[in-house]
Amino acid sequence: MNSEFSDSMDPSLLQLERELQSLTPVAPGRDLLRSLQARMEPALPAHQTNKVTSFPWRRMVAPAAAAAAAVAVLNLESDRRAGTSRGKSVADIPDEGVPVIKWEPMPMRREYRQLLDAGYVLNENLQPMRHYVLDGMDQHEWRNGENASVRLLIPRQQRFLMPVQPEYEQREGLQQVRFY
Amino acid sequence: MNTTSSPPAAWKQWFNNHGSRLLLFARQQTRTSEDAEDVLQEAMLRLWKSGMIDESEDGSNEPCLAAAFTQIRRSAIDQARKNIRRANRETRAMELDGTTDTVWFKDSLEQDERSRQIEQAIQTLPDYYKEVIILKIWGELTFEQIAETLDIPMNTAASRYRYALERLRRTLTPAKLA
Repeated sequence: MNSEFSDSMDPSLLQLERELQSLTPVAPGRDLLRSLQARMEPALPAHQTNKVTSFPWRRMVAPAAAAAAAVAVLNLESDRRAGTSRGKSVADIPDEGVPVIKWEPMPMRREYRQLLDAGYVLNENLQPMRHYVLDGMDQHEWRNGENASVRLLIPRQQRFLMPVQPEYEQREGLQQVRFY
Repeated sequence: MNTTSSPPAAWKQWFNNHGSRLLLFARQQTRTSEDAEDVLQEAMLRLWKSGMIDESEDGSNEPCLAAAFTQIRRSAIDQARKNIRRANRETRAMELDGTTDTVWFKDSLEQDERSRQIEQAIQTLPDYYKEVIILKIWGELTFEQIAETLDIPMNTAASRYRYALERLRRTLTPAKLA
């Protein structure tokens, strides 16, 4: 008996209760079961491929430049507040009642990642020049006495033109000339 | 109750056993059969992710039935909040044609008329009676579990059940109870 107070119920209510219990609810449809099962399947790991993806240098340039600019502005602002000359470390600014953590700047490291041959261009004198793009990364680092470090990586891209060397270029052939 | 996940096969078996009573409750909590199925799916996924399981009689772990009803109710409330304007339109449409698109019970031909009468009688009950009747009769929950699921005192759950039965008795003539 389902009723938890069947003793106190009159017979007609008990009869009604039994009749209700005899009814079977409609079962969920197959579509619902399939859909639910599909959604409950554990996610399979993404298919691994050998696709080579390049590092998104260009997308990083703007945010990194903004971050670097913000650091520079904060640095200048702190220097002004403390009445110090430009270039003095932020860590050197005393602040009463607050423990000062000294951050020492480390030598900047410049790393070159790849050199791209961007083809030929003509300079202002209509002389053919070789166009190169050099991708790199500047790493600025500060360390404190507890060996903690803060690192700021700024992507760098340099473009430069090199005069065409006639003997070499004749051998290779002028494959393409680009006009900018 | 603990929070360990059980394997999908066990969930499938458990859902095959209890799906009909869960769907019935979802239908009571929503306006259309489509909404009921959406709510049921959403609730099962929430339960699946939460890992709410009970130890069954044979010692294996299976999803907690009372927690499943609770999740259905919460999902139905969430859906009603999201689709309040749509729900209002559907309510008006149902009021106009006087019927709902759901069939709650499956029965043999000779029982068909009777089950329709009972279904209609249940649907005329206020929601707070309907949900207690469904959880008690077809959900097979105790009053304590019903109280927890509906977030009401246990005595309220018990008295609503009794009042609901009395109303149904009045609606369904004594001759039909034979």
